[in-house]
Amino acid sequence: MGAPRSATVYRIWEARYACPMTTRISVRDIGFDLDAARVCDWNAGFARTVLWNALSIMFPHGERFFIQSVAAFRESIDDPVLAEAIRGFVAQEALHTREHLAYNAALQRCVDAAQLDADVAAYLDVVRERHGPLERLAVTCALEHFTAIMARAVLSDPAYFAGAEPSFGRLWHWHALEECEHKSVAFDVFERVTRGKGYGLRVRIMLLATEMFVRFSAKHIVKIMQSQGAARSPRAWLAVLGYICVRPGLARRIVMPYLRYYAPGFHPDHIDDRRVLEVARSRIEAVA
Amino acid sequence: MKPSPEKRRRLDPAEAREAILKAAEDLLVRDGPDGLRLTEIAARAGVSHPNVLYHFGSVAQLQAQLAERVVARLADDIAAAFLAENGDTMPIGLAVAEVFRVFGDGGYGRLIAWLTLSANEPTFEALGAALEEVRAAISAHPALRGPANAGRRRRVAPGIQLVLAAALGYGVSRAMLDSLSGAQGAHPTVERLLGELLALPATKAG
Repeated sequence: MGAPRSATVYRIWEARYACPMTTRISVRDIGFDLDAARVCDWNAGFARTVLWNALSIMFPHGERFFIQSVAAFRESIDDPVLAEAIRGFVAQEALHTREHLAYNAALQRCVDAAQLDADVAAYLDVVRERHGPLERLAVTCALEHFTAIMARAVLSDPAYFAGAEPSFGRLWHWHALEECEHKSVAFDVFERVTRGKGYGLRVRIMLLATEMFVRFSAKHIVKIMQSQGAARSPRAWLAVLGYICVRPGLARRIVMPYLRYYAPGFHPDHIDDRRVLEVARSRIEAVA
Repeated sequence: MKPSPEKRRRLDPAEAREAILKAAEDLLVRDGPDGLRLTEIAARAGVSHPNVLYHFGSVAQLQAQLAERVVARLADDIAAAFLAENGDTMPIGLAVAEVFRVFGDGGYGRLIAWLTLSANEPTFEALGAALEEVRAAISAHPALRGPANAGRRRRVAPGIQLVLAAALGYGVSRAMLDSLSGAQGAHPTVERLLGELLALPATKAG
C-alpha cells in the first residue's frame, strides 16, 4: 500500500484502512481493597499467580510513560473526538497506576517489588533520553497492543482467574476491560501525526518493544521464583510455564493477534472486541 | 480595506480555525468579552468575516468554543501536573493559582459569565471528559491511594467544583473579592480550603 501524499489522499486512505472509533471510554474510579495476605498466591495457587504479579510490577511506571507519550502530542490533534479519547485514556491509565501502586506495595511480601519497580523506572528514563517523542509514541502503541491482546484473551476465557481471590480477579478484569476500551487511542494519535506514513517506524519499534516486554516479564518471574525459593524446582517451573504457555496459555493465545500488528494497514479496531467488552462491562459495572 | 497578499495567504481549514481562535484569545485578554467582535477577530486572524462564520457559525459559537478549548487545556495541564508528582505532596497551590490566573487575568471568568447571561447559553459538552480527566489525575495521586483514603478521594469532585465556582466568581468581580481578602488575594483562601477538604481524615458521619 503506497503512503498517502496529500491531505485528500490521506482522507481516502483513512476511510479505507482505519476504523472509526466506536468504543466508549468510561472512567471507573474503583478503589480495590486487596487482601494483601493473599498477594503471593491469590490466583488459586502460586504457579497461577506469578505471571500477573510479574506484570503488575511493570504497570505504574509503564502506564505513566504511556500517558506522557500520548499527551505530548495533544497540541497536534484538532479532532475533538480523538481529543476526548485522549482524555479518557489519560484518566483510565492514571487510575490503573494508582491501583497497581497499592498492589505492588502488598507484593513486597513475595519479592523486592520496590527494587524491580525502580529498575523499570530507570530503564524507561533511558528510553526517554535515547528516543524522540514520535518513537516514544510508537513504543506506547506497541505496548498498548500487547496489553490489548492480553486483555482480550483474559476477558474471553474465565479459566485465567478461575478460583481467584475475588478482589484480585476483579482488579485484573477491570484493568483488562479498560485496556481494551482505549486500545486504539495511542495508535490513532500515531496515525494522525505520521499521516499514515509511520509503518516502518511502527514495526521497527514493535521489535524493540517485544524484546523489552519479554525481558522484563521474564526477569520479574525469575525474581519472584527466587524469592519464593522455587527457582530450582523443575516442578514449580513446569507449573508456572504450563499456566503461561499451555493452559489456559496466555502466551499461546496472543501469538496470532500479536503478529497482526506487522501487517501494513493494521488498526487495533480490526480485532473486534465489541462482544467481549459488552460482557466485561456488564460484569464490572454490576458490582461497581 | 484591501488586505495585503501576505495576510490573505490561503490557510488550510485547521490552520484557519487555529488562527481565528488565537486571534480571539488575544483580543479577549486585551479588551475583555465585549472586544470579541467579528470584524476585529477576522482582521487580526487575517481571514475574511464569512470565513470566521464558515468555521464557527456565529461569534457566540466562536466564543463558546474558545472558552471550552481554554478550560479543557487548563484541565489537561493540571492533570499533567498531578500525574508528574510522585511523592506525597500534591501540587494544589499551583493548580489553584493557574485556575485563578486563567479565569481572572485571562478573562475567561468574564467570558463564561457573558456567554451564560446571553440568550444562547453554551452547554460545554467537551468539558465533561476534561474535568473527568482532572478528577482521575487527582484521585490517582499516590497520596490518595489505598482503601484508607477512599473518603478523601470522594472529596476530589466537590473540591474541583469549589475551585471552579470560586475562580469563576473571582473572574467576574475581581475588585470586590480582592477588597475582601486584602493584599494576599482571593486564591490562597481557596487553596487552603481545598487543601483542608482533601487532607481531612474520612469521617464516619459523612
